[in-house]
Amino acid sequence: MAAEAKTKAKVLEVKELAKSFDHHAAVNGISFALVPGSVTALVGPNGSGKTTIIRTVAGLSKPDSGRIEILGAGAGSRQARSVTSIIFDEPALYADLTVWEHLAFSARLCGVEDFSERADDLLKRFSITELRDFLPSGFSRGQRQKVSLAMGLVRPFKLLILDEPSNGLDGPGVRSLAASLTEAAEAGAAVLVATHLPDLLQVCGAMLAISDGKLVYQGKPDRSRIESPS
Amino acid sequence: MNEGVQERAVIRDLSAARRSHFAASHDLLSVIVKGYFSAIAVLLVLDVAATSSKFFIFTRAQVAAFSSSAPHVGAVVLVAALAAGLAAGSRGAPLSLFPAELRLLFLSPVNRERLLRAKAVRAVIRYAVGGAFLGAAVGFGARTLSTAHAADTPLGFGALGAMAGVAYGTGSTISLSLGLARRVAYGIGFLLAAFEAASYLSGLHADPFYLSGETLRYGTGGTAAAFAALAGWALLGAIGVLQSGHADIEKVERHSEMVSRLRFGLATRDIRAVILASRALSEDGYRPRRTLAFLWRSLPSPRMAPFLRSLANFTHWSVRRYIRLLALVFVSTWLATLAWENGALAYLAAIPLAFAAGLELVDALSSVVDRPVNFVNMPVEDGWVVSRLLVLPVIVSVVLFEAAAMASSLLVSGVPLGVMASVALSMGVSVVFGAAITAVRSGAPSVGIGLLTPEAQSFGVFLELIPLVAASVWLLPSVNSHNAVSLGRPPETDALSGAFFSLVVPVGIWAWLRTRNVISAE
Repeated sequence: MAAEAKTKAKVLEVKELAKSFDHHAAVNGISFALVPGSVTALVGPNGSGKTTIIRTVAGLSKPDSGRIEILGAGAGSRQARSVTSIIFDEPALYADLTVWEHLAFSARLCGVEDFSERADDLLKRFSITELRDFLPSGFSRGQRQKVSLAMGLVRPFKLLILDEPSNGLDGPGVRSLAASLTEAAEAGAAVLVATHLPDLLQVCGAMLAISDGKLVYQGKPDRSRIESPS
Repeated sequence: MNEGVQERAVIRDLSAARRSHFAASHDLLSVIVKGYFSAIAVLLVLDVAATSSKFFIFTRAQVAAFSSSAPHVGAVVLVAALAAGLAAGSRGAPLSLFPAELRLLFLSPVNRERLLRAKAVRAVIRYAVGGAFLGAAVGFGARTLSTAHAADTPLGFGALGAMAGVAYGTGSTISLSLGLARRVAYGIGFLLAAFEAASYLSGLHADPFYLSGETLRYGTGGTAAAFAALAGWALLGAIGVLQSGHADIEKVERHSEMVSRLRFGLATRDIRAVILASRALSEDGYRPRRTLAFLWRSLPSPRMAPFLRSLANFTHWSVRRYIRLLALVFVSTWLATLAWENGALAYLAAIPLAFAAGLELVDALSSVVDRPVNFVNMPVEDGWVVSRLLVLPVIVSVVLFEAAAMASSLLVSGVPLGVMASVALSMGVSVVFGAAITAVRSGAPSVGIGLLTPEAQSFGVFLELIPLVAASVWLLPSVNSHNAVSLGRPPETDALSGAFFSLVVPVGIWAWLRTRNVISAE
């Protein structure tokens, strides 16, 4: 019974995950779990398998073997998607929707209709209120990333996953992001953030370091692991 | 409110919001004007072709011969479309899933299967409508060139085009949703082709492709078959759409990324970008081979560098590219031979295929223009490098087209080898130089064209057809020799003189290429 209760407390559970591309093992037997209220850093060099893990958790890639459960639901299932918000490193916005419409549809597609106050707060937090009614075609990389972050944070979630979210952000942007991660954890969400940035590491309570698709460290955040995971 | 109903309402609102911004930022009038001018140009070409030479007019005998074999032609088109669809589906076609859509829609708790099915419906309808227009255009062109003694109507051609579109769309959705491996998809395509060949040789006119091909006789007796076939293909299309909910999102996403690159290339009319995106789409890159080391050692002179660069390019091709080049050369030459004997319509297919072969052959030049790093510090004019990079492609091209001409003359009775040898000489040289213009102009012409008025832009598009026109001067010996037959003269002499005269164009291009700064400009 005690073990069952412990399992239920996990927001994300990854067991023996493996995924290969063209006979190259991108992820090789990785297992970890995230609990509510935690912020966990996922570090590792380029090509170590961070994005592959995130894509399989999102249900965008099918694992070759292993199991992923999000509050007991399989990765990619409708139930899992209703509690998972994922923000990727490369912002992807519709050229024909304004910033406000992006936020509005992000919330409405999750069944939230009273999103205005939350959306306004996020626009203010990331200093993009003046872009509210603009189409993103003329935005800088950083501005697009801020819109992506606001989209990911405006919708409800119990699991927040971010892949290199600070790419292109200015100093205040990174600080706003760090505050948002802390706030999300305080609200009871589990946060997993793939990062190379020491600034974001400060808000993390745990760290997973991967190298060549294998989990080589699991424990307290350790800056030295960013450069050399193993 | 029901969750599904609410979800559909939000997605409808999303589409409406996108449409309103799209309509506000696009000029519909400019699209209509471009379409209008393009249609006028096509009609003009048809009219000139139908009135300038008897060669382009189909005789009663040719029309009758086509009518009798029309179901077989239709069957071949349908089998090819279905096989191509199966192959494309194994790579992620026909669904498109772009990053913004993936992030906003597919990561939300919406019904992914329903979204994929909606995309499949749109894809199948798009291919069906596109096929119908293309088929009707071919039917209209054939009827114009037959000066009304063709009883077949463009409607039958249009219906067959629609079925071919459905065949492609269905083949690809089924292949994608079943997750067929590429070799399995190709294998099924090969079996379908073998089945159709066996059906043709056995004389049994009862296979579904043959019966669908009867549609081409619509207006002369194929009416019932046409309606039955359309219903059958529509049913198959529905099965494909129902299956598409199980498509592998990862595969679709990868395919969509390549398709966006392809669309960008097409939008900027950058043929090189289109070729590179197509190669990426079919995962057809270069292969490392170490067969050239002795040549690099034995030809150390810098003067040989462009020649060795061309040779290195050829030797690093994948086996599939060698096969594709051979197929393009042999099929285009066979079609040119067929056109000489049975009517000019086959030129419509021969011209783009021969040009595509040219684009393959000038790959070394295109690569150097893309990445000139190895030649940028060479103390010679760019034109010197460019012109020498074409030596080997021209030799290879002429040899292959001559071999194809010999094979085609054996396959198509009634066409003198002397004629085809001259046509092949012209083909071999002109396709390489026509394609070379594309290679050195890659990406350049679209820069200022967006600033022009829609009318001027339309004419700008015609200017961009110059490489294709230059690569098609081989038509001269072919048409010239055919006219000689109608005048009672032996065609070989006219073919040879036409071939030599046509070489004026490649020589002009060669002189122009020598003045281009395509390497140091990088």
